[in-house]
Amino acid sequence: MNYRNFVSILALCAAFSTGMAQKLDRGEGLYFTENSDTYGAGNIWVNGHGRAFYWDNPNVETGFPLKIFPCLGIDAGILPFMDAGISAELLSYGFAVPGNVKVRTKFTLPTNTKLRLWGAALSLAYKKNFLETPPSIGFRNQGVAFYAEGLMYLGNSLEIKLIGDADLIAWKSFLPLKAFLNIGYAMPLDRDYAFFDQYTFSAGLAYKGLNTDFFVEYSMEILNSFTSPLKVEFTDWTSTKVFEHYFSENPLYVTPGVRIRYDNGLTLFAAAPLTVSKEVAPPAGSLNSVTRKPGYTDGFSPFYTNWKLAGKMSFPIRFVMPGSEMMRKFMLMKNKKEKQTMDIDEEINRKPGPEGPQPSEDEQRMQDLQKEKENITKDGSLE
Amino acid sequence: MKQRSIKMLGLLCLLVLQLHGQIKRSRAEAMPGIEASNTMGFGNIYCESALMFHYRSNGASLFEPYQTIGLGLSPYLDIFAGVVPFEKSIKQVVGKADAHLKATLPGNDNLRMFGIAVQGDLVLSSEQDTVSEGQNKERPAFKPRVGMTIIADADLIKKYNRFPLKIYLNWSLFDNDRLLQFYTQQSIRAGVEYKGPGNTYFASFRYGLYKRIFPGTGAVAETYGERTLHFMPGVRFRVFNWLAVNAALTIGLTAAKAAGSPLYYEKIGVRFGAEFPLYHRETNAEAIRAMIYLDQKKSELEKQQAAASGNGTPAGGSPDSVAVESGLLDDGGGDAAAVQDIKNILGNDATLFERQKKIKEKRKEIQKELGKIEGLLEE
Repeated sequence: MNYRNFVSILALCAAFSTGMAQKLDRGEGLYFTENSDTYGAGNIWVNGHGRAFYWDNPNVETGFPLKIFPCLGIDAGILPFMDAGISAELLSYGFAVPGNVKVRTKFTLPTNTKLRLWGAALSLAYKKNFLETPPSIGFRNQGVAFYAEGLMYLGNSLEIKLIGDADLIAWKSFLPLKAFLNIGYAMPLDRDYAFFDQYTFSAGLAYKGLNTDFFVEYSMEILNSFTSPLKVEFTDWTSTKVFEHYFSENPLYVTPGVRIRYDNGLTLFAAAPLTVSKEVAPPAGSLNSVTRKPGYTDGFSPFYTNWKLAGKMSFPIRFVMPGSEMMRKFMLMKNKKEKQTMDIDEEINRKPGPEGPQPSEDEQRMQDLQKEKENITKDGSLE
Repeated sequence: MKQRSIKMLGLLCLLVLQLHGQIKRSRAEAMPGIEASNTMGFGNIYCESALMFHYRSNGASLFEPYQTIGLGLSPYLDIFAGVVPFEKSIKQVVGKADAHLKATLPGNDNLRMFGIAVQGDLVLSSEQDTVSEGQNKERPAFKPRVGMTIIADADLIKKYNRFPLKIYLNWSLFDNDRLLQFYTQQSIRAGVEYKGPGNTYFASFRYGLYKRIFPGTGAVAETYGERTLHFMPGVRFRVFNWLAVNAALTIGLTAAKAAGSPLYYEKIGVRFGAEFPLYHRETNAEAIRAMIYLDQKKSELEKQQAAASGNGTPAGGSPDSVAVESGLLDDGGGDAAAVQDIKNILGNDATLFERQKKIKEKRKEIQKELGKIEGLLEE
């Protein structure tokens, strides 16, 4: 397809996109898994997001079990192949204000301007956690803690991710699916806690429609316990805990989710991360001086919350649809089944209107043709 | 005087007709305790705030608020969730919560005679679990319980325009979601609703089957040996075009309970709810339903006008002709505002036809453009 044709297609898409105004956000990812595409140069999206869950561990005798953490964020496309964003938790554990603040940027390949089958990107995120005492049930020290949502770093931390994805609609226009893969590394910047560096891995599959996306993803945040259990030692303000930590005791999630788009650009997103971590070692607090191994003081239970609900509402304050998303929109519209599922035309025609029963489309056309024929005959054009 | 009364009646009918044309009715609207097979429609958001009073067979009586919110995820899929705020103690400021994901057949986009749907149910129980091993007996478990509901209904208005009844049938794995830790359950619910142009009236039965889960071992009884039967009549009033208030009564008719069983049922319950949309875009199906009501009202009005003029010929045609033939125009200008109202209403009707015509043209235009683009792609 030559350049002229491509430009024509974009122009045509732009022409009829005014009638159907879905604003497809190029940079949107899943809940844990990022997308290799960026937001498009000059585009700015603001969002309010948050998560909520019950954390009612029997060992926690105090504290309100329902946790809700609202956040605000903004994302902007800086260059055609680079974007950046900032977000802040308005509220954190113990009603601390603010909670995590996160600044991120993403670089992708220049092919981002087109609807591409294969995409790759590098993402960097810096986080600052303002909490001074981590919420935990004793599995913590002054810089790191196991808590309701996995492993928390206090202070400054960094996360690097390699992102790859396959946008199948670019291969077959009738296949609006996208597969994602992220591999990352998270670390506290205070290298005294380097032992607690984490590998992050997530993979997902999304159906990307015109108005609605559905997805499911699997994600892991793992300590270096791939082949053998890790001996973890925590010394907090009151005690020391030494325990074995197994691979499947890391935070592992299966997350189904959905995103819907309104014509004005408002996008609603909802996801439910479900924890699938399993207890392998003896449970926390179950060991005594006879049953515990030499050198260990405790067992460990993955006491993370069983499920979370996450939501996001985003809105573009500056938006020009990238050419790649126009192409996606065209592909989706082209393959949209034109099945006449509503009877509204039939119903209208069946009902007498203000000027009597409405003729059907074919009848109308036939009447027009008859009229035209009569006019021509009258003028003698046919004779 | 008589003629003036008839005119006023005609005007009232037209105003009611206009109001009904604009009612923001959820496609998924059913009745408390019963689900419709229809989903809300893409992007629509509806809420209901309810207050319930229960008097139970175990002697307990309580007030319970309940708040729901629902979102149409696609034309055939929706999700709604509810929560009991302010339950019992401080530890349960947020009490029992539930969430439901419903999928229906593509015919939902049309006013259909028969509909079926499948719903996944999730209940986060706030009951203290005194049955399972290892549970903290002092605190609510918030344990997720998963179930499903199969829904079928018949919307008779599709076939018989003058018979706006809807019949519902639900089968669910939850009957009383506060007893899920004690019983494996099944619930069969059937209801009928008069779905008129404005207010609706409904009544339903709920038959619950309970199989005991024994404390400690978690063993389950072999048969559904315990049963309850409830009758639930109610009404929904349209207060404004965006707000409906419903009131329903629950009457426990009978129950079969084993000795020492923790089963209880509602001897009497009263429920008041306020339903309103946060975002509403009328679905095709509900637009068609509104048009059927509109058509019926028009016919009635025409008959009345014909009877009043005594010529036996129903009025029809343009907004002006309807107004003239109804005799409202010859009143020396006294009813000028009313005449304008009638014109506006009939004018709106004409606009509807115009709008549909435009949609049809737009659809053709798009198809044409798609054809062009396809040609370019093939080059």
